[in-house]
Amino acid sequence: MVTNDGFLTAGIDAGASRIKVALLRGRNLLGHVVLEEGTESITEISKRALADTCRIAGISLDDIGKVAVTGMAYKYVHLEGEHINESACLARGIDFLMPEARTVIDVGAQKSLAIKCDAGVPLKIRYSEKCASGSGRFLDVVAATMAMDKTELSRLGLSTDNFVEVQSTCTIFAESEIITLIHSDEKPAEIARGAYRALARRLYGLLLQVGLQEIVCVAGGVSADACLLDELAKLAGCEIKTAVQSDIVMACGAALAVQQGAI
Amino acid sequence: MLLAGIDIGSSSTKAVIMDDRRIVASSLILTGASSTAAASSVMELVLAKSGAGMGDIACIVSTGYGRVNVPFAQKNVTEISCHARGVNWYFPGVRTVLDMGGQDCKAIKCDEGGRVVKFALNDKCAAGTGRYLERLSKYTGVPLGEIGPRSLLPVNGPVAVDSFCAVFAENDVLMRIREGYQINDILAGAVDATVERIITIIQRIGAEAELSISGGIAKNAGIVSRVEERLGMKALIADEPQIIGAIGAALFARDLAVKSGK
Repeated sequence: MVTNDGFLTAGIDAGASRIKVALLRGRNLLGHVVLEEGTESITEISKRALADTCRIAGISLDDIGKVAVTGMAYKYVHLEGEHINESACLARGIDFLMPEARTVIDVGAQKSLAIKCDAGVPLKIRYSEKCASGSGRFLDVVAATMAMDKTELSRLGLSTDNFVEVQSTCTIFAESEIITLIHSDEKPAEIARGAYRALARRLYGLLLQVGLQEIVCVAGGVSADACLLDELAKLAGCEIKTAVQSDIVMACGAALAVQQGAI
Repeated sequence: MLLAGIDIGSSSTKAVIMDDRRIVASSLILTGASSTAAASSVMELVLAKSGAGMGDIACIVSTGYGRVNVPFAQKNVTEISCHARGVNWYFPGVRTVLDMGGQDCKAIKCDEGGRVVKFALNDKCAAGTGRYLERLSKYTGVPLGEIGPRSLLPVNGPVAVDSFCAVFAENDVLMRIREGYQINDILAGAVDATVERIITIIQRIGAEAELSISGGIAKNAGIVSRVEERLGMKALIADEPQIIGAIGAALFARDLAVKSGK
């Protein structure tokens, strides 16, 4: 792969709940920003994230040679830029940040994407996007039902090795099931652990479909959740790592994809 | 001889008392937190309506989601069997039953004797169940009973709700509201999506005339007319479509009573 050291590119990863921007010159990461989405339009937030990134990197917006857009909300980013699909961005991004990784799963707010990859190229791709049960949303709902934030949920889950089975796949049914479990005096920590296990099983299923090949790493919004990683590691029987700069793997991959000479 | 059937669903509990030919009394209450408590309450209600006492009932059969939690029932029978049986009593010509409850959706193919030939079930996913509509009602602020009728009166045509998942559909709908689309148009799109899901379940058994729709969603005109249109069949709907399972249970209770020589 030929890269031009002087060429500046930006990758915008517009996810279901956050906008991630990475700015690269060649293979140097100059700056990155992650913003939560709100009531503003996706385009407005993306512009703001891009401007913030430029300020951090100390460059002017006009210096950017090319912009690449990815993520499930890419359609709503009305900026001049090239659309790159997510699996390509994930493979390229992980090759840049953690070249030893062979199996990567990006767990986002609304979907999960697992790939097997080598040298920045996705060899096998599986999405879980039709159902909330395999996404970060599942944990959001569990945490809300248990009246806590996700950091507390993770800590609570990690505090025990026992778990209560959460049987419902559907997030909506799981919500009622968890309420029933709470009312039946099950231990909150074991309910939390059970919910993590349920999500981990679904993610593991996705990983198996692409073929589990070490090193396995997790990217995306819940990639730093220790309880999820612990459950995944138990199922997979190998170490599961949080990707380096796990929030911006795809944004980096997008920026790399539009470098001059990138294939 | 008096017989009783109790159907404990995820959202409502139904009881029916029948004699040899007809329905003597029926009651429906919300299930609430305890199926056992709901079973006792609904039994008291239906007995009071019928004027009979517990000792007058020859046999009681329970069915539904909470059917194992009815201590005073002699037997429990799956809701699939009870729906087929109940529909057959009500409409003997029916071969396809669509039952849409609060938390599941069943398509049942049955024979002339009300026996189950084949069935398909979605009880894993809220899409295509009453729960989806309840949530739609909650976040659009449109009362549950108005969703069906309003979904049939779009102003500029249905607005597509792309997400399959009930959780994600919520985001879609809220976004459409924010974008300023008419509520009726959004409801039309959301109900279309629900019906798509239901149709895939029916297709797994293959629809055969005649068709009957039971369960709470049979009261939703928006769903019923779309299903009719998609299948090209008129649906037969009982006066009280929610008690079909309980009727079936009461009929099984009759079998049991006859068999034990009561």
